[in-house]
Amino acid sequence: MRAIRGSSLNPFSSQAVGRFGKRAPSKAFRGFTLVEVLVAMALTAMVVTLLGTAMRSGLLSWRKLGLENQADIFSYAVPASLGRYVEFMATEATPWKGREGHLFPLCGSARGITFYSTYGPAGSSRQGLRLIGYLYDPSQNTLDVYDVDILEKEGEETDLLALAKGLLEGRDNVGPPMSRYGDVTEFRVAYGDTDSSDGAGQNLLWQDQWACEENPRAPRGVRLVFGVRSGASERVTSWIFPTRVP
Amino acid sequence: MRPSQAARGFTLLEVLIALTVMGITVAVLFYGFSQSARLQMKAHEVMEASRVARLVLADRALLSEATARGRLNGPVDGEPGWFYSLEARPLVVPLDKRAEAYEDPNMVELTLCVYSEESGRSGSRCLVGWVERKG
Repeated sequence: MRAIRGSSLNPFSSQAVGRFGKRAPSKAFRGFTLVEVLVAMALTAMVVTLLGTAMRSGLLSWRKLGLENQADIFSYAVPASLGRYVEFMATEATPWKGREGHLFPLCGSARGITFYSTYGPAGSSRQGLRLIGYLYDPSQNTLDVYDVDILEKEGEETDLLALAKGLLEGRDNVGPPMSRYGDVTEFRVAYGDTDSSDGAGQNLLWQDQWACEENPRAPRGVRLVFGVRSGASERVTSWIFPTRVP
Repeated sequence: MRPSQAARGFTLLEVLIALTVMGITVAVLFYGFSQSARLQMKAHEVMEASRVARLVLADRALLSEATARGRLNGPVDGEPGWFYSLEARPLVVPLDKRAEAYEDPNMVELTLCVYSEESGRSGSRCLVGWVERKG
């Protein structure tokens, strides 16, 4: 047969006859049987299901990780900035109006703290005295942060005590907050001072408020428990910030 | 009877090569993702450890007790699942080769290590500082 076909003038026509002729189709062009199609479909379904599940769980964990990351950043950034302000808290050694020896009050409750600080971010032109306030509203889960420059003209006298106390008590005396954070689930402040019975004066006793009229000096340490929620994940961290009170 | 070139489909070898190339690409991608997730977890661990270490360092009474006793360890106050170990050694400053090392009687070299229950003692993170000996 091969010899005859080979001798044919047009090899393609002979092939076409082979393909579409009335003879049974050759093995190579038979198409698929039902069983083959079914097996192929089952295999495809399995692979797609596996891939889909893997993709889904990957995406879910990626999203969860992102939310946790968000909570992480938030739960570190807010206490870290409060820590910076506390570290540069204004004390008797802080020169103000050309001399040292002023008393800068710190007013505190369990849910809020107001004090004076000299911290200005590096490179910032704001380097003077500023009133800092962190006030938490548990019913709204919001934390308001105040950062107000204290500017005095010649001959003027700011009542630092009244200003700090007023801000803590929620009197709207300094304008709107610098920033407001939502989803804050916990904000609890404690104030540490040296125990008078302790000879070395190293043990701090913690109390949940700091009355600024009775204590003209700031405490030696500020402790903060801070909780934030991001999506389904919640993170609670605790911090202690030592002050530079002499 | 060979089918024409156009209708031939892929040979097994071609399919295998394509699959291998795809597999390598996917593996590289997934490796990158998992590496980034692992780095993120590690960064979180370091942040937590530094926060806990600051809590320990804020406790002046604990530091002076460790300085007096030389070695101190226990659970971190207010941080369940975290432990600290403090070790105080006399501060010895090595000078140049000929001179004897200088030992300062008023200073100690304090090593603070913190570790969590999950990471275990082997995963502890440490820092070294010099503190004044008091009393």
